[in-house]
Amino acid sequence: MTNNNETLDAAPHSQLRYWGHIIGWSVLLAFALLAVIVPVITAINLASDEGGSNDWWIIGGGLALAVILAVPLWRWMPEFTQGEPDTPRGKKMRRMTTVAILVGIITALPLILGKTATGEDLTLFGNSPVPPLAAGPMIIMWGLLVPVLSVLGYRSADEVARAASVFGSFAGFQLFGWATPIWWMGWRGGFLPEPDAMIIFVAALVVATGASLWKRSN
Amino acid sequence: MNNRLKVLRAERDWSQAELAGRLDVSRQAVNAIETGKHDPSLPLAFRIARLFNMSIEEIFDDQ
Repeated sequence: MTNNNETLDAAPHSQLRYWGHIIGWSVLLAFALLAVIVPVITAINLASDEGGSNDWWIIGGGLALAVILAVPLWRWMPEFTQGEPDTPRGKKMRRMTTVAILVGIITALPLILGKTATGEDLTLFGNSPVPPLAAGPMIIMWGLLVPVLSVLGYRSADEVARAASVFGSFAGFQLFGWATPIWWMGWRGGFLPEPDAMIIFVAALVVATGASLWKRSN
Repeated sequence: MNNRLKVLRAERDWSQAELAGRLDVSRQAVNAIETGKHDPSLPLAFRIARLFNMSIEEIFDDQ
């Protein structure tokens, strides 16, 4: 049995609201984690006689903030189900989302943690040279796992998500097909800079994702 | 396409999430079908009809 309000609820599911909730909650979680980590590091310093007189205030204040933040974090914890039911397909979708996020993080790690030969930090979105030891694993991860995840994700999605994905892909490709020749010809004509594949890729990805989320909500 | 999904669901006191679980689709999918924003595929329309023990024409109306 469910309550009547829930039963009759036919309000459109807003992806913007859903992801806004998750992002807002994640920011709050980050603050709560910092409110725990900073006092712990401060306490370690204090124990090794490297601390100062204000350290007790930092420890007390940080832990008090963590306790205060724990209440809204618990109360407004978002559902991470993406509206998927607790069925084998729904579980597969949630696993796919988790794996996709992990693949994204692991793929970017060599570049985030790596250094150039001169000891400078590498940037993810830039055109500076990247050491082969950082570029190689990224190419292998992206090249092998992304196509597999794309196919598995598409097959695991329900038909509304699949239709939204097709719509998003269409919008992204339209942007690619429209912008690339203009930029290329503008470059050859001498009034635009050289086309940058990554700018076109990111723009197409943003449009495809945005269009897909919009389609799922409208 | 018009449909009686919301009424049939309410008669059984099911939430959108509960119906989504029975049909193995997301809650957004149930919402999109109920509000006429998505016309279900034939296989899903059959699943819906079987769940409510009705024919497809009794639930969906293309007029």
